[in-house]
Amino acid sequence: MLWRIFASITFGKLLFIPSYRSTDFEVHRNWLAVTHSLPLNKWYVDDTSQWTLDYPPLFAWFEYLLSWVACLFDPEMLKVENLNYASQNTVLFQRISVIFTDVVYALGVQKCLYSIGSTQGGNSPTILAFLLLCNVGLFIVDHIHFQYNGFLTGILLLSVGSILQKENLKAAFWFSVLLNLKHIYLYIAPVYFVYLFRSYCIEIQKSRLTFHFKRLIKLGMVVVTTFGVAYGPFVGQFQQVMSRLFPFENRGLCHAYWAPNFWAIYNIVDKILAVSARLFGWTTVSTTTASMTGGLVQEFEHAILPSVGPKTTLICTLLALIPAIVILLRQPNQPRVFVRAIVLCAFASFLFGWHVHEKAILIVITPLTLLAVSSHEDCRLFLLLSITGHVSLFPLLFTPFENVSKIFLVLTYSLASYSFLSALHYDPKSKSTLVKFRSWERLFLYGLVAVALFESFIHSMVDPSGKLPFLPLLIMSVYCAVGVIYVWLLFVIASLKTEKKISKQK
Amino acid sequence: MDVPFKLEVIALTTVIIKLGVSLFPYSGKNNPPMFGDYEAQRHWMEITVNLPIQDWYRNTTDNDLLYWGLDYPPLTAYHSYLTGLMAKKINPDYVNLLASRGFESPNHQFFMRMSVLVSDCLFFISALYFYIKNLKMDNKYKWVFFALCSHPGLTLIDYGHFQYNSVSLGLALWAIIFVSKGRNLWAAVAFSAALNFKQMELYHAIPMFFYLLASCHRKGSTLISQLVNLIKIGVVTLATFALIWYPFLQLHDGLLQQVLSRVFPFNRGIFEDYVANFWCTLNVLVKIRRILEPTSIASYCLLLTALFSFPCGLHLYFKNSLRNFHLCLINVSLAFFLFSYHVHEKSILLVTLPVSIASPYFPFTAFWFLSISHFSMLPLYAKDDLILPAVAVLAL
Repeated sequence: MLWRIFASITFGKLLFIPSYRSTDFEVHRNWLAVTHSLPLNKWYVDDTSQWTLDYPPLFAWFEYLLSWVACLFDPEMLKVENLNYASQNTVLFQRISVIFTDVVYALGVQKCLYSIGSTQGGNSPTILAFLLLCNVGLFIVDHIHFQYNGFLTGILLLSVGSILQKENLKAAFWFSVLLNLKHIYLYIAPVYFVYLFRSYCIEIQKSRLTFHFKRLIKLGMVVVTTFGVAYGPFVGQFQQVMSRLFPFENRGLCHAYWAPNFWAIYNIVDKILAVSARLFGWTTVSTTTASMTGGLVQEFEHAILPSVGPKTTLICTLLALIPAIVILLRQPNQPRVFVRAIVLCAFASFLFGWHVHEKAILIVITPLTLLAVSSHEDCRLFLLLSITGHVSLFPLLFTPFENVSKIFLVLTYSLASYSFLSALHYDPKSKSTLVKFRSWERLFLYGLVAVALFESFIHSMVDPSGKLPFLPLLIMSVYCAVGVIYVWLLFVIASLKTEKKISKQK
Repeated sequence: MDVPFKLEVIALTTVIIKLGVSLFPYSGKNNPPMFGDYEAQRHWMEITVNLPIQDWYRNTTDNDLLYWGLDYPPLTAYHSYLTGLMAKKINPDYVNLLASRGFESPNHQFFMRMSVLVSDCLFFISALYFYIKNLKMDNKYKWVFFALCSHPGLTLIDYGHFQYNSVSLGLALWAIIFVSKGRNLWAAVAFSAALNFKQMELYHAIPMFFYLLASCHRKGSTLISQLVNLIKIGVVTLATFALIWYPFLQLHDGLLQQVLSRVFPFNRGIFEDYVANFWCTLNVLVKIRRILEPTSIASYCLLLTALFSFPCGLHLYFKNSLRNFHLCLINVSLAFFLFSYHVHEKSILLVTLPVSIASPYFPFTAFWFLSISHFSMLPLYAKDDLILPAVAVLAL
């Protein structure tokens, strides 16, 4: 069944090959060219194109492998000088490479299905497969906007699936691989550390603590070997590689389009305070409105509230991580709790991190999907988050055609997930066939529809000259930020509650 | 497992598939001087918006009939007119008389594709949705049924190759819906409209005619009430025709004949390109075009078509039932397709509609037929680089 769903969605992906591509397309073409044409020591040094290699070495190897297949399609794309080269064959090749690597995603999903599905039984594996494989956020980001997230999420799921099946070493291996492919997953590394340390290396039986030193060594070996293989050839230019991977000097607090996280709200509050201060003449603060420069660099100088630097965001993130650590420590060896912790950790990094991309919401949504089929409460939170999260991705697609298709895509997926999950949690006793939302949640969702329509169509109709180009983005990110924070708080409470319940049982 | 909103989800999914197909090239893209069906539709918007109604079908200096002259009945013209008005509002360059020939731009493609989507939603998808929702069928299979009906051929022709078949097929579907609900008068209106949108709907005309005729003769009703019913239907049909043809009936200087000759062009050959049709197949063995004259060919066509259609119609008349109606639709339209004069391969769509409706009776055959018909249109797709989406949609 899983493979049937995968086949269908693959054909759907094929249909969208000619749709809009973002600059990320050129980014990957450039990386293909760089890895293919230049010697190893130039990979992280070359800057013919502005899109320099800023993913870890394993991804560079991945691009290198791909480039050999690219040769068959169109060798011209592999010339580093051919900036913005996009022949038909190039497009075809790149699109197909994403579609093809999604097989890894399917394998990851399959691994998780074994663990989660077997405990639930019934139709939940199929529904879980559908929710994961047809995730519209991934579809939009991977197959339209162009990235390789499906492939990466697949590896993440392989890792999580291993934990679910209590194969801890394998999990460590897959996660190390993942970290060497895209370092954004550092966001959730703490969870792995704590879990593996607490649940794998330490054993508490009848208040007797055994520390499995051997296991720690094994873990260390796995991780170190993986990193070694990946970084080995680059040992000489380690400094250079790091500076490419972590460009702290160049990036500001927020992306050009604010990710719907805590800092978005912080920004807007600051703006409002600044404007009020001017109107009411509170202080003689210099009336420099927080500058919103476009592009990569976003320097934010907050007018009223204190300016926020990378260290502050790190501290906030760590504070937000505390619930995750707590539940991991209190309940060792519970794979379900592990997944909850991943979600909590991803949430924390998304909400409080430095220069967060709105695409990072997918890292929160994917593990949450695993939980959605088991509990009613998680299901409700999943639906709220997925709808909000996917709508928050709207500003990524702005061409007229994609404006229409993005609405239909998100609408269909949301409706499908809503109806499937409702049927799954159908409770014959209470006679409710649909997942029920609280009244304010429903209001929020209606408002979300309005915001989405505003962003897609209404704004361009009301303001054709483009005087306020950031207005719809602003509204979208602030509104969605409210939703995301709401779900986060509820999820934290739910996680701590179940933790208490189980510990009470003991 | 009873899943709520199944039908809606499937409907939305078909829209997504159609949107996906829209991304691909259309008929005659970048292909001067004549381009293709896409340019034809754009051209009709151009002339309907800019010229007075009497000139729409006439060969004038502004309206060169050799360059995609109008050859569908007036309702298509009105539809082009309305769409043309919208086009004009968005960007007059789309429909500038003579200057906009061969106009191509991404925004324009977006506009045209959206017009197909909107027309489709208004007419076809709504009809299908309504029809299935009210069907006395096991809920489990309803969504399979819906998927069947939104079958690849229609999607590809309308969204890829570019036409507005969904409007006429939708109207015909509405007619069938009304018939199954017993509202014969509305059915007559809907079908007349369908017929006036595309004259190909004649394929469905005979069964429609016989069914309505038979429904007047219900058991136990008096002769008077039967006649009254018949007259009512006749009047309604004539009224619909009159309403649509009204602007063309006024002038007697050959306008009506002109329109008719455009709509039924007998001067074209018996078949064009490759059509999975009787004459075509026969031609492989016996070169008909060399043996017989065009007019006699036409008569043979008529004879054979009539031969195969009438028995079916009569059967329907005598054993009136909905099921027979559906089957008759299939038979007659197939007969027309096989034996008519100058059939386009797109006409197979007219057969696929009743086949999909009747698919609950024989699901496997229906599926097989739909796949084959889709396959038969492959050369057409190939001309427009539409092979990839064709395969994709078929697989889906």
